[in-house]
Amino acid sequence: MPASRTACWLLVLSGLTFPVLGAENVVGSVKAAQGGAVVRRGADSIPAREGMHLLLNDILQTSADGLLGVILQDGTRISIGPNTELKIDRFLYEPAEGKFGLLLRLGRGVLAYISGKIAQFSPDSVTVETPVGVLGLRGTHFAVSIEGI
Amino acid sequence: MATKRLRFGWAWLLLLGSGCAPKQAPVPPPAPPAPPPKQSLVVLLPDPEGKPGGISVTNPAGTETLSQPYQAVRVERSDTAPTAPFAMDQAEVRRVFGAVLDGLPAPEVVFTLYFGEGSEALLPESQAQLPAILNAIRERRATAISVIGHTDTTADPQFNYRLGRRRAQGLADILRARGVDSSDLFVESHGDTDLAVQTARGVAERRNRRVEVIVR
Repeated sequence: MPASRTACWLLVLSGLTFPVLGAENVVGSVKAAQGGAVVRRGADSIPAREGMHLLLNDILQTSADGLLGVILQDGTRISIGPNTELKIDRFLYEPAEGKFGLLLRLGRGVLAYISGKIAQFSPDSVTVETPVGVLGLRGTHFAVSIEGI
Repeated sequence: MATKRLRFGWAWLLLLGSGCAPKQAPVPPPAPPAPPPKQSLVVLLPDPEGKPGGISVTNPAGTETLSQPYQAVRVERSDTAPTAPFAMDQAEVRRVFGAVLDGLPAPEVVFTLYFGEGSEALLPESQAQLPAILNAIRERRATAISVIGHTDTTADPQFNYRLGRRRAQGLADILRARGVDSSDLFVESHGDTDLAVQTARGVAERRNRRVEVIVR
């Protein structure tokens, strides 16, 4: 991490006018984890714990007794229930450059969501894909449960 | 031959994937009983800030739009159209979604600190906000704290980007010195691209010379 921080500074000092995100492109953090809850990252399956940083393409996965509460870096709030699988497929939040996008893929289970700044800046850029259809969100609060998949 | 048969039997067990697999030699599996039609459910809920919202539910068979709180649609499969929106009982919403709704984290908290003209030093009244920031970080056990520097439009954009960065970095250093883990601090600069108060170029504006600390 010190290396990437140094790289960060070098970029800044070289006069680059774009914001450089935190070292590892963190997209969010776990605020609460209960029961069987893991984060699948590539080939790894990491037990989810409070405070853990989340990265793009992470898959949040819970078992029958699992619950996970997550806040993304734009303030989007997400909660998933038992037997759920949710992938953070796209997260783009660069207000200084006007770039916004959020795509969540709900493979199964239950999800509650309250929108953050991505939806506020760019209402059409938030999508949740589910096995039964695509949800186009316009800055709001909703819940979805996927059954019989 | 016997082992082969045995292996076959195991394969069936696995295929059936349930505790009630037949123990006898392979026979064609019975057609699975038609499952009760399970339906996925999408419900729009009141926006916490009372702003209007909406959701469209789209699959190859059709689209429906929810525009009122507690409106819901059911969808059976990706190739069956969503039902027409219907009003969902609030008690039913609690029954189905209570646990996940209660599991939603608290909203992020934003603090805004101000600076003198061209300066990286916090104004005294902003300095006084530091305990509240540290308290919020501690209380929420926040591990994702954004520190975003901004400037007014006095200087050129490149200078402003760097000034915003120095302001944010300075504040991050203060937080770090008071025990915040550096890997939890996300330092950025938006320079003069994200003004709190719109001005022409070359305008000194106190409310634009700021650092936002977002505690999640």
